[in-house]
Amino acid sequence: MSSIVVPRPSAGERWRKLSHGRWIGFLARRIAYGLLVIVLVALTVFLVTRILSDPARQMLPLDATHEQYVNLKHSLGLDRSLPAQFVDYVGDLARFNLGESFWQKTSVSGLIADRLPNTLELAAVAIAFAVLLGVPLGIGAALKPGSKLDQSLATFALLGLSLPQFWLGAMLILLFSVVLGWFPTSGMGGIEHIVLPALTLGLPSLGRIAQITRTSMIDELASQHILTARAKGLSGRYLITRHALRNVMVPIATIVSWETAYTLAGYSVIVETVFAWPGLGYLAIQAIQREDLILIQGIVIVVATIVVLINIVTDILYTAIDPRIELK
Amino acid sequence: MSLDATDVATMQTSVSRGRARTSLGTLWQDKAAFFGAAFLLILLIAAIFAPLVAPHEPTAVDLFNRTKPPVWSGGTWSYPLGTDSLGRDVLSRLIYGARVSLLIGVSVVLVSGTVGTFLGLLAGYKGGRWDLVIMRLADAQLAFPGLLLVLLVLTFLGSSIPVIIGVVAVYGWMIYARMIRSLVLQLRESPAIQAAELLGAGTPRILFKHLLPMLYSALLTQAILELARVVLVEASLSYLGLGVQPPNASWGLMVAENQGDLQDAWWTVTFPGVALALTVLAMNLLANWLRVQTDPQQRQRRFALGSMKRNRRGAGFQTGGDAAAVTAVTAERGVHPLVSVKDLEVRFHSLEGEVPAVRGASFDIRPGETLGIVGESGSGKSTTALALMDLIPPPGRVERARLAWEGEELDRRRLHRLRGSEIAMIFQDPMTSLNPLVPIGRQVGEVLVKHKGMSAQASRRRAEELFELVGIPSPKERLDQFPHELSGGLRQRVMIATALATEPKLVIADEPTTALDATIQAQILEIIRGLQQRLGLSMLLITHDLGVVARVCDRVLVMYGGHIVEEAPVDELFETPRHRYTQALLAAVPRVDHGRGRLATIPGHPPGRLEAVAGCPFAPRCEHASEQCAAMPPMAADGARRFACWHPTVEELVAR
Repeated sequence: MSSIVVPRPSAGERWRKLSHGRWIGFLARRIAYGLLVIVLVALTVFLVTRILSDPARQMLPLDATHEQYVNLKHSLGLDRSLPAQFVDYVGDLARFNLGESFWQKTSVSGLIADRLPNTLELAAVAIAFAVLLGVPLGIGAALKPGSKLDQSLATFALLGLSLPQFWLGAMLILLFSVVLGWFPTSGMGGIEHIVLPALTLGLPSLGRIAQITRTSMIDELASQHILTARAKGLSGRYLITRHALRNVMVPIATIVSWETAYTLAGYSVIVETVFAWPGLGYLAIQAIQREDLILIQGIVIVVATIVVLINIVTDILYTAIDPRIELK
Repeated sequence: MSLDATDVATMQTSVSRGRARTSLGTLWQDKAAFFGAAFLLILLIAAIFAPLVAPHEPTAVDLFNRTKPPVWSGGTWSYPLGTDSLGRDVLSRLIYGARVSLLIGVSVVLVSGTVGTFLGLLAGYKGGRWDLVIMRLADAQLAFPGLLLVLLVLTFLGSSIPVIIGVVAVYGWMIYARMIRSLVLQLRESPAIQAAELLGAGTPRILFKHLLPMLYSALLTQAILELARVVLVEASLSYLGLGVQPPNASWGLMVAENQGDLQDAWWTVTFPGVALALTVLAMNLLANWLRVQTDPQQRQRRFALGSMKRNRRGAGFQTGGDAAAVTAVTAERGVHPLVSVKDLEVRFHSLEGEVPAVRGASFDIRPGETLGIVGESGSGKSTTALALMDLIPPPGRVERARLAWEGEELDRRRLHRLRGSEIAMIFQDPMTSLNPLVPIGRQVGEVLVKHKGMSAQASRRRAEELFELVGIPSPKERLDQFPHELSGGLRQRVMIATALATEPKLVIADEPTTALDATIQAQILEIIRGLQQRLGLSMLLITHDLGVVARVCDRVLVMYGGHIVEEAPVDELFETPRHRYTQALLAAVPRVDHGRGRLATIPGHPPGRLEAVAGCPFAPRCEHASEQCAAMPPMAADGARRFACWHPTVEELVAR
């Protein structure tokens, strides 16, 4: 059945049909909106750091004189008006100048560039694991609602929703590292190092991706056009992959992009801390512990940019999946 | 094929009436939800009375009893769950941890729930600029995962409990706002709210006196789900060192403090996590139960899924009998009918019990003829057509049926092999019947690849020919278009082309023109009739339109309340309807040649699916009904005609 191959215009062909002008407009609007989000995040970070705390006071030893304080403030430009400071700050951001870390005494962009690939590696393995297992499991459950597979998947997803990730990591360490001795407890190295953190990071996502896939697939299988396809005598793998799956790709893309964003910007902070994985999240926690303000705000801005990029890529994916979605 | 709106309304009222009485009972029945509720109740009591319940002070250090194991693995009863590396009692710290967890959780839910509900009400009811600003803000915040921002703010503000509550609440209001807004958008149009507006109630009054009470159950469910999420967030923050500060007890903090002792003192890490997981699990279970209880749609959905499981075990198609018995209806003519259906019975399973949709229908379709089925909506005509393809969607089920194809009995597997190759179907709504994401050329071509073993290129060429046949202009260019690029009339032509592609012997058309504009209707009907005659295929045409029947059909079945009540050649039916329902139905058709008299209508309404009718289903509306009609009339044969009526029209003529 899977041998049925009917030529259809590839996504590329479909794209070529669209005029270039509309594409440029679409991308320009997306990027402008993304930049707006980044500026808003930058503003929040700026206000939090400038109003809620005093960077100059934090940089100085406790016994510093008032004169030292005033001098430092002046040399950092902190005695100027807030709008003037914000303009400078955004100007620095535009030049990828994120300042210098108090703690490491090196450039923040350098530190982030060192750590970011580790986080991306961990997140990629975790999300790939969650998608490659979660989507087929969700489809399987949707094909037979109420079956053993469906019920165990529902239980699993509920557990994924209920187990705290830091504790799941600790329990995996207890079982696989302490008791069985299969994997190292922490740090980065060979392939064996990435297994436990990726599992911890990926398992809850797997549950959620499988649930969304299942629900969307059940709705899809009950749709009128699937009824039509069945009346045409289509069935089995062809019906699922060529007709049903295509239509549930939009909700799947949504949840996967959501999970990726939250993994990079939230879950990885926790999981990297549990496993001492030298990524951006662990760096953020170290920076917080040392009250390294410049470093923290740099990390937040970089993560915000990544999330914005993910959202833009997702929007482009939607238009590739569904010809009805207009470029607007 | 969903249940009628009236049926659902009936169910809803009966559900809400029963709810108050049975909710505690069903809580006991649902073991998972009962566990959730019981666990949360115990946890709440323990948290409130922590100083009385906990055996030790949470911060009391006992250096002589450091890392004592739990009582069952060699510990003592004075520290039932063991102690940590400072000799603090794990159980007592768990109880005080619950206190912090619930305090923060409930406070956050109250704050963000109140703010979110208020903004959601405003956005949904006021609309316009309010809606735009509030929803843009919510979307932006939802699109941006804020954990890092929360960490940043907590670093600078310090992690006191009020600060944690404030920051986490800011992080969660939009979930309520979005939910409330979408509910308000639905409710705003409801008669109750419209009436209140007419009576001149002000905005605040409508929002808080009228709308809010309708949202309580949805809000409660959402609040419990959010409580579960916030408890996890607090634990995570405390684990990262930005939540509850030592020496106070928090479940997240306990895991962080003791993670280094994982090897020697597993209990210090395991128990806080178990407590946390059980708490969150209990909340999720309770929320799920509550959602199902308060939302009849959810109940119906769950039920439908259950019946899918039952349907997989096989429908009631019967085989193994004498094939001749199936075709007995017209066997004496010596020609095998193309299809014979005998004793078809379809039921829909609902929460209230089984609802019959088709009750023992038998009929034949002869080669080359067009057989019409007419009836009002709910009469079972569409269900009959779908049953013929074994495509009854759950919660429906073919309870009984005997089918024969060209004189040979059909089992379910053979029937499935005929689908799309020998039997094709055209559905009512061309807007939803085509797959929106597949080019139309492929949707036609794939049946040829599947059933005729054609190559992809050949199927494409054939699709182009078929498009031409059904009158689609510039067919070659259309092949790669998507359904949304076509008008409704063109889409229905695509459906017809698909149905004809494999040169089937039978085409089932279920209200093929109902969803189209009046001008297009005539065209489509003409195409269908022309092709049917040219290709000599049989057709089963389901319609509620007697005009369509008169123009297209050779014979007609009249259905009412799940029964075939009359069967006749089309001319005879229009000339002398025998069944009283058919008579009333024909009288209710507006006719140009009969002047301006008052249009006759049939009093009363057709039986709802939930109303069980024992005798003649039309009796309650029939002016000729007698006591006899309390029993189902048998099918009487008169030449080529059949009818099931105790008081047929001709009897009246004779009596006169």
